[in-house]
Amino acid sequence: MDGIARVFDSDGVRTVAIVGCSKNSGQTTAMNHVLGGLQGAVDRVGIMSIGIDGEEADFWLGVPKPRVAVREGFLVATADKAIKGGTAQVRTIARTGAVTPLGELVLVRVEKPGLLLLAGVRHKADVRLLVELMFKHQAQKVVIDGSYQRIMAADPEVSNGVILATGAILGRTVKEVAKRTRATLDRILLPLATEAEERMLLEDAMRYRRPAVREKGGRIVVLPDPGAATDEGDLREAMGKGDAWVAIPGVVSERVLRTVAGHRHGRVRVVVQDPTRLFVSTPLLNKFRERGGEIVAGRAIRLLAIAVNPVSVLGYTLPEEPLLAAVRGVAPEVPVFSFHDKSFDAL
Amino acid sequence: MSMTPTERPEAPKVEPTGPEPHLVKPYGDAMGDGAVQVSFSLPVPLSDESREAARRLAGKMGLTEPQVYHEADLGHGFSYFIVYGKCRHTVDIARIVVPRVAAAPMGFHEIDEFISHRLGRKVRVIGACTGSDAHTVGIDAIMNMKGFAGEYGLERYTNVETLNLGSQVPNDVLLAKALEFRADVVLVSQVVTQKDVHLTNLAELVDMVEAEGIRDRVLMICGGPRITHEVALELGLDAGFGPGTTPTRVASYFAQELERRWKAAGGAPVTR
Repeated sequence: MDGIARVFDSDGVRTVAIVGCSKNSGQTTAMNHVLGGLQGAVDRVGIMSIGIDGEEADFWLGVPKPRVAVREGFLVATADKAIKGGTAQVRTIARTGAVTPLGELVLVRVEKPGLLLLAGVRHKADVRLLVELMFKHQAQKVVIDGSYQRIMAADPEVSNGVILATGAILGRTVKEVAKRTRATLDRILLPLATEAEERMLLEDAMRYRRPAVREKGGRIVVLPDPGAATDEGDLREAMGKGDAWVAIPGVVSERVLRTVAGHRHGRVRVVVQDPTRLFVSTPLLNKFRERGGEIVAGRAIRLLAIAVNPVSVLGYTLPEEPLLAAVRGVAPEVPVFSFHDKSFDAL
Repeated sequence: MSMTPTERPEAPKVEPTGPEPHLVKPYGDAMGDGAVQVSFSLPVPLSDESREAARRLAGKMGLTEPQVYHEADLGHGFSYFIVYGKCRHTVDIARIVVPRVAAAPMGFHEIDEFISHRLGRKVRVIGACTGSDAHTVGIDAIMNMKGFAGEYGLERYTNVETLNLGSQVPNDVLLAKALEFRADVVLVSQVVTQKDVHLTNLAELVDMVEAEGIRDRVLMICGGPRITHEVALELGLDAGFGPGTTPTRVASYFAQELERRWKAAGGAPVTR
């Protein structure tokens, strides 16, 4: 079992989501490394992709993409017409009823190894259903591969560990890659809300599906509109004239955080469900924090490792050791691994 | 939006005509000759050297026996070439899977009737060009009353309520409006350029809809010049229509897909 797979084997980790800092950051290559590392130790692995994995070439760039090789005993979620695009021999063991442009989303068991196209998983509800089905069919571990910068599968209700894929695609210099990787970490590594009162406030917000604000005096106001549709005036008024806590169920948008960051009468602590709900730009997040603002989460993401890919599909490679050192420098809290897909070396 | 490969009927089964009938390569005048023609201009004036450069470039593209068949001086220091050559590669057509939606095409009146009788209430459709995109021609062709290609747009349907937000709509604004409007369908028109920004924007919108907890009750459809169902699948949307798509094509899809989903869920979603 290699390093990255050992990380997967950490306590209690059964479902790992691979999340990219951007498109082409090497999510599938990271998954392949994990699958390779598990060989011999874990046979019944469940895999799925929330985009499309295993196709020959990138749809936009035309460059080769890493294929997905599956072994006997793997449980794979894919659309039934996508099966034809692979070489592995599989048997359908469950149908989900979810219909995609590639047919119904099904769960298959690999009977003879080969390549397989993973497609058709789009909704979080489908991901959760499939994870459940995979464990019901005796999967030992489940790996969910990401797509673009999508973070949906990192929701702690879906997965209990995350591997972040980053790499040369993020910038032409080591410094730029490290900076942008840190920006992603700043969004996804939110501390857990530990105070009983802030957790209760979040529970209120989730129950009403509306933001709940607790102002300095202890008064709690539940706003009339859902989080993403919050009226700025209502929010400002609810925060009152001192420190405030704002619990937001669902999306925390740029517009809402800008309103919170504009609170001049005290410090604000924002309580979110989990980090996958935060959709704000790095400059605004930094500005908010510099002014003493805090963001905590009802459920935190457990980051297991960062997988660094020094090769960019755009045809350049960054020096591996300095890149690793730079990423380790900005991410001292987690193990950092390097790998790259050798098929890109030919570019 | 024109007919894209995703909108054509499924290809007929390949009948065996040789030892490997599923391996296809270009046809010129003999089976398996791989003959192709490429045309391009070079940023140098026409000369014997530029002619040879064109021939060698075709060789570097992987063509064998490259020959320049036509050449012209374009003026201003540019030249133009048509080069013939032979492609050595084959593609296994039996292994190609092109995503397509299963909805049967219906006409304007048929769709209105279908919604009225099979769905039992009006369908609410919100549309926008999101992010930095200012190209509203696609979303207008589908949504505006005057429609496109001789078909009425969604605004004309009795049983479709529409809200067209126009261009350069930030994702959070679209999400907020979709919540207020209690949308059943979100249509996003996007001109995808070489830069990834538009794709990234679409992927973020899908994640936001998930994060708000309404993904299950919203059908998400994208459209644009380079959009296909494959792109939609990759980004987490439900369907993706390319150039030339007409309003009935989109409406046939969402009406039938909503019926399927609402039936599976035991009725139309309760909006909050």
